[in-house]
Amino acid sequence: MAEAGPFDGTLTIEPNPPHVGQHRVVITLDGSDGALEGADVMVHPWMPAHGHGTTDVEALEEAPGVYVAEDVWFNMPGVWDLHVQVDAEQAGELIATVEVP
Amino acid sequence: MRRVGALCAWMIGSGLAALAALLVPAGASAQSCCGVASEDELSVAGWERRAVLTSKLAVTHMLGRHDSEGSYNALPDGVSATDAQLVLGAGVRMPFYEPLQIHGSFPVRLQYRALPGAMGEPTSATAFGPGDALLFVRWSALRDDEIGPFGGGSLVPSLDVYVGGKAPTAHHTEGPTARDQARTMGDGTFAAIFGARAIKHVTPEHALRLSARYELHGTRDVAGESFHPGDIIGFAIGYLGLSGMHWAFGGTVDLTFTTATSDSTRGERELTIGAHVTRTISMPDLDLTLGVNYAPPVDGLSANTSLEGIAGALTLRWHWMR
Repeated sequence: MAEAGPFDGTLTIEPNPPHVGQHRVVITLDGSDGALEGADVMVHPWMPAHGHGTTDVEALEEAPGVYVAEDVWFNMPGVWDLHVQVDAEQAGELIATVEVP
Repeated sequence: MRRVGALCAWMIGSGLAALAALLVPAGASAQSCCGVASEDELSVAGWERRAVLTSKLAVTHMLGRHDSEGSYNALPDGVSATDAQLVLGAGVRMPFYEPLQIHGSFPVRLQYRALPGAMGEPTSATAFGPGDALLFVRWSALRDDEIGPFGGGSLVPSLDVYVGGKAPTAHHTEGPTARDQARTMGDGTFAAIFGARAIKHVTPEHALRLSARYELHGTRDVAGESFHPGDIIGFAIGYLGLSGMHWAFGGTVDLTFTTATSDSTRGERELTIGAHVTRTISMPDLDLTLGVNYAPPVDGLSANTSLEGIAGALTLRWHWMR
């Protein structure tokens, strides 16, 4: 993921490869002192070629620093950006790009 | 932060590019028309004509897309898109200076979309409404003798240059649902369009066509932010043939590049092929053209496209002779 804040992140998507439909997105966040716990995390699917997105999904913390968003929806084939908005002691945004065949 | 919704531009750059069509009774003027999606040349009045009125019925069915690596993928289960449009157009040569003309078109559209919904359920919608209006000023700078160098004529081609614009008269809807997308019939921006077209007969019965166009788009607001849908550069090469007094036919290859949108770093490239046949119904003022256009599902020909498919169009034109 591209970084835009004081933390690192990794994102996995299930199923992989993605498809038109719903997905489970797992985001692991690391701050300067290890796992970033207690953050508010939102996932915003966005289609940059077309200027539209689908429903924002809140990612819930399932383990220290591990946040899970269920039912992330890609409504059509194409390149999608997943904007991960992180609101913790310091806020920031991470972006991951996926392509739906 | 961008939020849900905004316009879905199924149609942006889905890029079913122009077919060339031709009504050329032997000895008369060559002209092209009948773009399946791009209507720049739908209603161009040929030489020796004062004006033209055009009506075109076109149907496009989407079949798939090329991904950003250029690999072709058919549309997945549950996704379907079909458009029909009726386009009315007119072109008039200026009586005080015949090389100059004004031409334009206005479509009405019927669109069907099927998509999986937010919970994976099948959804579909059909919508009807206006498309985007086009208006051009066109200057015919050079005129082909329509004999061609192999027929003993000159090397000078016909050359038209034009400038015009697209007005966002189509509805566009912010949202990802099938209903939103069926109702999205334009990209919601003004555009300035510049183009040129050359036609050269190599013999009286055979001609080649080259054209280029540039479409400079404005921006629109998406949830409080400015969104630019990308500009379009298009090139086309075509063959035009005549058979007797009443038939004409031809083929076209169109290559279109769309620059990256303001939200993206990746542009699009799309190649389509087309063919048409024209029959003169009533000499010299009425003709009918049947055209088809197809985006070949071949890896590498196109890249990062929106939706592609096959289109058919039936175009009827009335000419007013000088």
